[in-house]
Amino acid sequence: MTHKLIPGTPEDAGEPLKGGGGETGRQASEVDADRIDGQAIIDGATAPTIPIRERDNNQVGHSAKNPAAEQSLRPAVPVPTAGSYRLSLSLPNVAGGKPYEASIRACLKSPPIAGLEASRYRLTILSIDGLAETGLHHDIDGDFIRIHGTTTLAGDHRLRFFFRVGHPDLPSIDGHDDLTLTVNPDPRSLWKEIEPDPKLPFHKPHTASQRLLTPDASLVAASRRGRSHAHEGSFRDDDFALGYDKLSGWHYMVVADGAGSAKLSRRGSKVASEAVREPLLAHFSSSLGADFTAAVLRHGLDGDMASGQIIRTALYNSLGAVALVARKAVEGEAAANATKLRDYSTTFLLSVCRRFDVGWFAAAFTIGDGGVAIYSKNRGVTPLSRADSGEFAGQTRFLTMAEVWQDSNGINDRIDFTVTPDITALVAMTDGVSDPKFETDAKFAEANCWHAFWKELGTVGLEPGNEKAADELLDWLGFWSVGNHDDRTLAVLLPT
Amino acid sequence: MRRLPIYLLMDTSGSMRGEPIEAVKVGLQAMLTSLRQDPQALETVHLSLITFDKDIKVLVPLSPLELFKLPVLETPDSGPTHLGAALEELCHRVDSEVLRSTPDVKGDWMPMLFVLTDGSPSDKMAYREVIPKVRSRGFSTIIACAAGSKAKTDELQPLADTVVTLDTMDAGTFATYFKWVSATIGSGSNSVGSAFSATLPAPPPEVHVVV
Repeated sequence: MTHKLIPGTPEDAGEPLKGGGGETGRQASEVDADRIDGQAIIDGATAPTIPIRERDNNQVGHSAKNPAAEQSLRPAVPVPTAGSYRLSLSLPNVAGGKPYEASIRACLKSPPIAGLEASRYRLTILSIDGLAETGLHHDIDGDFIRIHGTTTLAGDHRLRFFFRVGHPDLPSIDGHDDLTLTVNPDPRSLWKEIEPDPKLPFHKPHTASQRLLTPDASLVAASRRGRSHAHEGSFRDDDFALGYDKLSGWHYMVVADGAGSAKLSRRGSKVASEAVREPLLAHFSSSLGADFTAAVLRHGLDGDMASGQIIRTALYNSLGAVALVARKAVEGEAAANATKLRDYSTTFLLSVCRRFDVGWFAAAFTIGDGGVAIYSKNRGVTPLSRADSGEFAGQTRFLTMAEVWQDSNGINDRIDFTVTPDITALVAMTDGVSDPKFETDAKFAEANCWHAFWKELGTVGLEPGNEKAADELLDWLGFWSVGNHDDRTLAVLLPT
Repeated sequence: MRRLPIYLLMDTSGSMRGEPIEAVKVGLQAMLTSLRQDPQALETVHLSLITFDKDIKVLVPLSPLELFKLPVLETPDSGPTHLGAALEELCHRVDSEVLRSTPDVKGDWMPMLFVLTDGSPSDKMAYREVIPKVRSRGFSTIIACAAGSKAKTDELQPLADTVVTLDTMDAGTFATYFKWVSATIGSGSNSVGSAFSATLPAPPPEVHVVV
């Protein structure tokens, strides 16, 4: 606690006592740290009543009136001491690292003398201690204070305001009052990167990326551990898989997001993503083969009911079946490790697409949050998913939940498809990307939001010629977004 | 950006007057300082402070942690402890302040509730009737702290998921208790991707979890 002289304290020998003599040797360093707000505490001695005579002798105050005249005007009441004045002022918290600007007018908390008009008091702030060390600056004009600047010194800083109270009928009194200024740390400076315990099972690298070139398209995907998991020292729970079947010309992309509270969900998302390849390849040449092609061509771009029905049935029997295989794979994993299926909870977003003469066909089967969509620079967006969500954030459904598989309508509702000649990209993402970039389900279906998203993604060279595409996408996924620190996975297919 | 709403319901009845309420202040300040060190909390936590004695006061409506300032806690000389009425008011606040997900609105994380009392609710009937309302508000966890020797834990059991007791009501104990509250909030704010799993961090020795 620094000891600062208040003009007028006994140490300040030689100067006439300013103020009402109430500073009877109280140290400036006596900060009433435990003072309860709202109750003026005058520690130690009580406010002395200074006999009028004594004040005359000391010629106190800045009063211009002569002592004799003062004596007759002065009421016979206890003279306030500096300690009985409290300031009423409040400063907003400071956001560390960001420019701070606060202007306030100080006033006296309670005029301490009954019977005297409060309006005739004049408050002047003299100086502020404790601010300089934060790096913030202040300007004072009478009772008006402006504090401004930028600081990164986080913590609760005690400021001491020195002030003077003037009153036409009384000598002025100097006093001080303390106020805490809270400087919040800049959240960006607090995020740590911690490695998970090496003894834990199913280690997963913090990043993954892949690029796949096919005759019809270039596919790029990247997945990155979020700041949240990095701060906790846990793993990336997201995963993905990309694939292409040369024989049939079908492409697939799957992204999966392991549940945060499920301790082996990183394994669940990986197992589910890897399980789709084999069954998909089988379906590409059977249920999604020749008859399917015929139906797609008949369906064309306008879509008649009959061919639409055939397509839906084929998708139910292929994508639905593949998703079930993925689920069984996770169940098998749980049984093999003698652990609960719930520990492997993961979302599951599976998409397939193929070029036909009539245009590109794309379909998706999804469980959970995040989303899949076809984006077109000219036509906007066609979502192929409907996110599972509850009343509150974080509530979604998982591949492993029984309720998802209860009835065929439920499963059917999870499938959607589109045929379009004009496609810029097929995009699949986990909620680590959809939350910061789209926020709501409504915006995920809005063309303007997608145009903005695509523009942001423009810094990544997704075209087939760019060998660094996967790395660039991975870097892009490191973007900063306040409050959005989940694992991020994004897969993009661009027809060539 | 998703918010994590935290509701603090503090007993300010006559028996808390003096040292206990001062100690609670110290504890709350310790909690704030601790929360401010957690980047996830700093970005998502929103706090509301409601006190109850014979009156219910919403001292601070739901506000971001970054802007939150601890107000003065006042205790009347004596009088009843209207916990039932306080919980009614809490339900109103939650209904008006907590955002639920719609296609157009990004919902909050499930809110959390921390209740602190040193005695027994005076409005017992109102208290009993409001409990199901509170429990259906979607709190991911409700923690009730029965502070001091007069607090009755069995009355708090129907309300809370976890009831804890504190042996003493001094500043040190409250600081420890509120630091544990802050750790609990911290693990709540880190629980991305699915509902809060309700595995609380281990309590410190001064905080006894009532089984």
